[in-house]
Amino acid sequence: MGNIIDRLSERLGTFGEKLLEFIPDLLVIVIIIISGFIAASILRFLLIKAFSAVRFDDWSDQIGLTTAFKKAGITSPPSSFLGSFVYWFTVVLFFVAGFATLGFRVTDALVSIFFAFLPRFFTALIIVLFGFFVTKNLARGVLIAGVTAGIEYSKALSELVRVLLFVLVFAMALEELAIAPRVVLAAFGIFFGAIGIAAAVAFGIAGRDYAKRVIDYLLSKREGNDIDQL
Amino acid sequence: MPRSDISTEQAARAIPGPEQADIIVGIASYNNARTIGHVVRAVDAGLAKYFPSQKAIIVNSDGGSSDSTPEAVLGASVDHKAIFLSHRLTTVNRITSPYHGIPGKGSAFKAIFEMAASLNAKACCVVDADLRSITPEWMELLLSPVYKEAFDFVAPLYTRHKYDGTITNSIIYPLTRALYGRKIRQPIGGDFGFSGEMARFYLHQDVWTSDIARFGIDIWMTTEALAGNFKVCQSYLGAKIHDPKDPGADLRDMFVQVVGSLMSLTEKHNAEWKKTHDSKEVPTFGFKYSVGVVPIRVNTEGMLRSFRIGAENLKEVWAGFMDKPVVDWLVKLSHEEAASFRFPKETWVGIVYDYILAYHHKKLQAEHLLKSLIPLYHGRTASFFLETMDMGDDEAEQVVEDVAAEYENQKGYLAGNW
Repeated sequence: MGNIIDRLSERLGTFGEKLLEFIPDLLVIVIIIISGFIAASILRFLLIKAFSAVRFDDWSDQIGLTTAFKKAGITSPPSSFLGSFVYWFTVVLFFVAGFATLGFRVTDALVSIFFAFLPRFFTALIIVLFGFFVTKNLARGVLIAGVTAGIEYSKALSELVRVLLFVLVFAMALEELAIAPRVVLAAFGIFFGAIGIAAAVAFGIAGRDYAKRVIDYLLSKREGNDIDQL
Repeated sequence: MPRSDISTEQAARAIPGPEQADIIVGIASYNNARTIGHVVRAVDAGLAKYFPSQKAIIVNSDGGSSDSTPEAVLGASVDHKAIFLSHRLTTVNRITSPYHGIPGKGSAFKAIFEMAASLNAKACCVVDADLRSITPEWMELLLSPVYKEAFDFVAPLYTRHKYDGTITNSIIYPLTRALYGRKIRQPIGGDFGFSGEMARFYLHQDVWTSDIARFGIDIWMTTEALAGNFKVCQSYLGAKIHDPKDPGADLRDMFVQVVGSLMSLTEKHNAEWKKTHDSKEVPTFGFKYSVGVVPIRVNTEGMLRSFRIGAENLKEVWAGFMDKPVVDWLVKLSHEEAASFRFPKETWVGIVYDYILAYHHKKLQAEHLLKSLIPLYHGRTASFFLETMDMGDDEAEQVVEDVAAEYENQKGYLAGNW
């Protein structure tokens, strides 16, 4: 019995010593995390001010980012959402940096993976944002060009372009993130191949009459229009 | 910046003696060999008749014609005796030269402005190369207000068929009148007179890489003259008959260039137009007479179809800068049969102002915005055709005047939401 108590007190003593040794590290982590929250708050504040100065929310309205956010259930303005994103990202960064100070093998490995993944994450994010902007503009361009050319199903054409470009953008982003690259590649090839074949078959068989009508209409307009609109 | 090929040196070669000219007449051309000879003869006769002792040059600024247009300019001759004219005291020189820069009427005009500035011309005018109705009197009517009455800018006034010039009637004339307070009936007529000072003013503006270097030049010249408080008048020239437009030419691009230029000028001169509250007549020269005009065939069904396709496909785009009830009404209108199709002027004017505000607030890429207006313009124009089907030209003109008054009535909406 005495032996047990001796060993127990010895272990508790060791635990106490380890705990006392760990307390400075813990304090460092706490200080880093608190600094993280402060830095994140400052960053969010500055970012929202900058967004407001360049009228980022108006631009987001123009390119349809606000609508897309709303569809995804994000009701706050894009500038506020991105401010929050940067805030929590900074907090996580400081958390990871804090744990890195411990010098444990496991945490070191996790920190390395985290930082190695960051460039890929940001590249993917840029691809998605830029792709979203390009997609929105191109789809609208197709819509308006279709309408001015007198194509009745311009909207469907524009939606098709939008979907195809979205698929392309997300495939590129996933490729960048190295998430199941083979699956992405195969799915992408099958998807585009199927659409290409479907479009060719549809236009070749079902769209013949429609194509003829469109061409006839365009030709009749050229022949019959002698009005000087200016 | 692109430079014109018409240089002071060339001009000096054209006029023996001092490097100076009293009058410059510019003709912008591109493959107009069929008609330009007549234009040159009319100009030559007009200069001989009304400005016999002034040094004058006819400048043909050509866009690289492949149909011997320049040869037609140089080869056109007038038998002065046949039209009871005595010989001029000085010869009218002719220069034909290709211009550089963006292909378009504006770049051609820039070369003419350069010539006017370099030769210190007192009075200048520009006329279209495809005119069939130009007479020698046009020279007096376009140049004398400048040369003899000290006006800076002379806009043309024509008799046109009620269905001719629908962009002018539905947008350009009424909007220019409402914004700048002057009743210039043909702001984009294409045949203008202007002073040498005005030419130098135009030349020094940095616009020669925009749509103004294309079809935007006419509205730009008129608007700058109005907004710059230059002395402006108009001259009645009779009927304007010209070659039919090239059927292959894309009128949608023309629409975008003209209306886009008008909107960018509205942006530029917002301080000026906000101060203007009503409109007044400008001095008008020339003897107004009754003249027959060429009847115009219109494709109302084609315009209605364009409007219906627009309403079906663009309603979400329109909803981005127009009130929902207006968009809903447009969609409802698109289901109407031609017999009951009416696009009221009040709604049309409100829509045009919404577009100007959307352009100002950059709600959409400019080209997309302007092209999305085309189906609405077609709808309004089809409605105008249907409304005025049984009217004479004078009655139809009153409808255009009513539209112009509506633009003035609703101008507060534009200013208030700027």
